[in-house]
Amino acid sequence: MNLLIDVLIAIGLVVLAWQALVGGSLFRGIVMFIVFGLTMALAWARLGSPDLAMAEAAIGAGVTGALLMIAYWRLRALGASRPTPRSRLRARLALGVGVLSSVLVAMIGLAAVEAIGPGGEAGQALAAALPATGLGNPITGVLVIFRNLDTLLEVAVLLAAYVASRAALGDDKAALPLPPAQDAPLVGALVAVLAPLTVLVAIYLLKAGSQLPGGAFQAGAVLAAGGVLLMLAGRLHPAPLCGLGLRIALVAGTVVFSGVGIIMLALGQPLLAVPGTWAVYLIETAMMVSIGATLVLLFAGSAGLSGKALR
Amino acid sequence: MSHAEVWVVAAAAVFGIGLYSLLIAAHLLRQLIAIKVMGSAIFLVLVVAAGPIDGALDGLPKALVLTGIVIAISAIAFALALLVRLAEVTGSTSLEDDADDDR
Amino acid sequence: MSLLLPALVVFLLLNLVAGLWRVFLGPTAADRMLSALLFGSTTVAMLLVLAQWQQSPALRIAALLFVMLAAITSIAFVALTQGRVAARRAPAPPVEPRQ
Repeated sequence: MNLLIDVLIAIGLVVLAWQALVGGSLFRGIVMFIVFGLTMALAWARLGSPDLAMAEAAIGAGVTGALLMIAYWRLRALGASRPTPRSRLRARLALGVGVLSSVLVAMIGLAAVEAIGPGGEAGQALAAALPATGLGNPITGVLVIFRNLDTLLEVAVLLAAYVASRAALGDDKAALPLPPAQDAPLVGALVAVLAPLTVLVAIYLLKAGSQLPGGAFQAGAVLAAGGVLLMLAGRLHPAPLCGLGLRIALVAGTVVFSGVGIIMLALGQPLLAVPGTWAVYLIETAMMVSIGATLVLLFAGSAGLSGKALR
Repeated sequence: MSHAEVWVVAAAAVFGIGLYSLLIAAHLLRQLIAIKVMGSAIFLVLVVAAGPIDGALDGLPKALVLTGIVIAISAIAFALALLVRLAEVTGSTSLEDDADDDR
Repeated sequence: MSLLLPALVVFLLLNLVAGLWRVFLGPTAADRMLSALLFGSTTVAMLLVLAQWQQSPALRIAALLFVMLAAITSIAFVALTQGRVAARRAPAPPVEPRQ
């Protein structure tokens, strides 16, 4: 029975990937991609990683889906032409390349399954070292304590994506088009319930993240989803300038994370040592704020946000 | 077939579909979705290859994949900004490499 | 009892396949989005059953996230498809293929 469930989800993944990528209209492809993301979340749930299920649902399907949809809408609003399909010869060659790469991934994956076996050495070392940190969630332990340079650079990459998007889009003109705001009575009621709920859930995920599945990334993505909701409902608008508060929010994760690390270095500890559980909460809170703010700005395609509409 | 083998075979099939679509799709938005789907397939292989299915003990590959998911969305968001800019400037939504091949 | 929960998961998975068929058929974008939302609801049910069966309570939080995101996705869909009226001034790309 267990195997049957896994096989059904796995077949679903393959069929959805095909539906999202091959044939059909582009809009259908995006919807199928979102459904693919939800099915990936199910797969993570089956694989015993609720952390990844949450991250995949919130970031992989939710925020990525919103970014793809708004880009699709903007391309239409800009009146961009649709490209001519590729030649048939190219399709035949691509089929061969696709099948070969698939075989390659399968061989590498199967070899790795056999070679590593359950519970590699790193996993055992992690399980042994975790109790000393006071954290219960091994993933948060890896992200904030054991491999925290990776996490710091990851937050920096997100910031770099924002800066690079600004450079690509240019500051010298009006903001990118956004769909007209939804101001139907029902939408207002839904926003009044959902927007505070996103903040509540984000803070819960952040707090739970030290012991249970959850953490700054999932919490930040939930905050970003709330921001996207406010933007679609016309409560938040793109602004040509990035205000001081928003600037602080954008860099908070990088600054607090590296700041704590450098202070510890000055105190004679190794670089990026984390002094205690309170520091984990501090760093995670700053990261959540940064991730949420950056993702909302990437959706808006503008430098800043404001409560009042442009013009 | 064991559980791990089922997931690895499915991930391999998804990766192949992604690469196929990346090569034949002309629209850049579709190519971006293809890259994202290929990334998901690799994440699946990483987690399945490293850990026991029920024990949920090994947090390392999962933390790695969590990092990967965030890096993927950063890259996609930047690529989408480039795509919208490309459409603004040239009105096109693909990189026409075929025109260069006429030499 | 030990067989009931996995059997429920399989039943819900078969439901997903049925929903998927509808997403595949369409014919309009709204049909697809609605069935995608239905897909989301079934996924929530499955996560809840899995949480009980695999003794993994955190999956209930994942289900909560799903519900919240589904509500936001539906608003996004309404906003973006109403925007199509504004986009129609531009040269319209080919409409969805009808089956």
